[in-house]
Amino acid sequence: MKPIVQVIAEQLRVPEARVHDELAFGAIPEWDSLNHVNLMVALETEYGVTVDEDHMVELTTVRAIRTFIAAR
Amino acid sequence: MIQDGREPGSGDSSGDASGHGIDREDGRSLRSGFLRHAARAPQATALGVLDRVVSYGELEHHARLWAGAIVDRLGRPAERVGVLGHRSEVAYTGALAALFAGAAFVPLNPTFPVDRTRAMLEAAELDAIIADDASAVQLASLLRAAGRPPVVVLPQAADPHGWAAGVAAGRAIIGAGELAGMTPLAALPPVVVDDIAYLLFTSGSTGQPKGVPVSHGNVVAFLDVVAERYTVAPGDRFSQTFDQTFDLSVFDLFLPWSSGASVYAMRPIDLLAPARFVTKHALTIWFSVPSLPALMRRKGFLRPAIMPSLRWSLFCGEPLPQATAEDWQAAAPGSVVENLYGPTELTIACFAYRWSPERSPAACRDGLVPIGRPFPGLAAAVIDDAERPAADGEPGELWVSGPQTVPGYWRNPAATAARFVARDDLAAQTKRFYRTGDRVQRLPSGDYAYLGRVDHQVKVLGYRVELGDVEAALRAAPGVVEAIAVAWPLEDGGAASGLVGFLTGPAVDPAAVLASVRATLPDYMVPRELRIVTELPLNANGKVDRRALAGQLAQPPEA
Repeated sequence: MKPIVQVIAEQLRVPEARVHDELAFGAIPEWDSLNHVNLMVALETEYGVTVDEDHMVELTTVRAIRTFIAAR
Repeated sequence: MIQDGREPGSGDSSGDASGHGIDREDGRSLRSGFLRHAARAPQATALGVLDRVVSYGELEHHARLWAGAIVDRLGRPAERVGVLGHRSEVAYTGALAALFAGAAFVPLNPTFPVDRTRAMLEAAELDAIIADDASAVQLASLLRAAGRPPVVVLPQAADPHGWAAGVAAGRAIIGAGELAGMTPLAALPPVVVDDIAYLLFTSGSTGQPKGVPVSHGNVVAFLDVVAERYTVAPGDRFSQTFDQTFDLSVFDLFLPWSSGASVYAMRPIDLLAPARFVTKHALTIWFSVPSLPALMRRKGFLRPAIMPSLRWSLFCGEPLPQATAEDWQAAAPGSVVENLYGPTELTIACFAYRWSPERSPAACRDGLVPIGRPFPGLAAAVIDDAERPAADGEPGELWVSGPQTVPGYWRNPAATAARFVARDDLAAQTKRFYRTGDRVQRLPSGDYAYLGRVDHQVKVLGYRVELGDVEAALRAAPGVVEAIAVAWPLEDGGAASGLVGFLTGPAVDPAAVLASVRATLPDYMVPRELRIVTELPLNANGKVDRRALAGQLAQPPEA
């Protein structure tokens, strides 16, 4: 399994150094709607989780994603 | 091929027996329907935004208050009022306040680069700007370079004068404190049908945003048609999906407000989980670009019968794929699905196709739903390359004339002359047609099918983008010699979800190019990928072969 930071950096197409816990959807141009959907799909593929509509709306920070994956 | 619809009445109020149309007493304007319903039922919900629910009475009070402040400081009715805000209560109320001040509203998006918004602000020559708190910082940098000092209304700011100290002096700044001591505007400055209701800026092929002024007469003609078509009633609850810089947002806001219904604003993240939002607010009317349900399909969110409250499911802004229509119909089985079509120059939408699960699959071409037929009162013509009517069933450019055809481009006679043409051979009498630049074909059923563009305009997630606009920004970046933008990747049905830029130049740094274009283009126009090439492929005519470039994108980049 890839580290979460790597998955996020790949999907947002940004250097891993820019991925920190407070980074949020909409805070940088690269974390837009399209890349958010790509990221959610990548989380499902990489970690075997299911991202439903509530998760789609709630997993909008790196911290929230980290907590969600850790709980699985 | 020419189709001349029913001639509209000469400004009379017939054809409004439903009672859902626009109030004629206030000179048939974009604000008159709202005023009628606010007087009738001030407690009714007009707007839901974040966790706030705003009644018609409250919305009217705020809009009259802000309008009063603007008229008071100007000493006259306003002509154009900018509204700077993004999906906020201030931004929605601001549009209404502008209309109450006798002005056209000019939506400005704080997520756009400052330089682009400043170009719009200067072109529009605003009398006033209403801004939400979240946009105040950007407003300061916008105003520093503005030539004419507009009145500034910051309805949420307790101490706007501290803010104003950093901005050039001499402007009338009105904050929450001043507004609290002011009187709502009782007698609204009159407006007439030819007055501009709103002024929008679209992507222009030369790199400068192009202004499209839409008159009260244009938009009232549109609202009359759709209020009747969708039998809108006070109990209806609308989605608000479109950014206010997009003319389809006028449908989102003013169709409900002209009918006593309510509208619920969606945050950008809500757009990625539409069924959740529809259920939460028991929406009855959905209106969005087809890209949104396409994203839902990809994520498996369009499940059967998950949106039972919807009675209309409307799509516009880009081609509607058949698969999207089918899956959405199953997800909202109690709704009627329609595909709408129309450029800003023809006021929001001017064609519609009603989806039938039984009959429509056979009517689709290349996996796309037809755009249907022109609204009543509009004349449509399919024109060949020699600017003559094409033979029935032959493809050609769509030209449209009627009460929804806007007056022309904002202070741009050359562009207006190129796209708005008077012809006496296409309709019963001489009419002004708008050349849409869209290639269509009339099907044997009488419905029209959309085939593509005659130029280099594309749609990215529903946003209208002139590739020339993007290429001009790329060429202005350091080290770039030549630049071509291609719509990519393409989703179902050929709509694009992004752009790729191809660049030549001996020492081009992609990071520097991206930083440069981000300073001038809104996010949806910034290429998602840049490819540096030694030369651009040419076709047999010696022009850049865009098709070959798109073909390269199907291949992985060379290592």
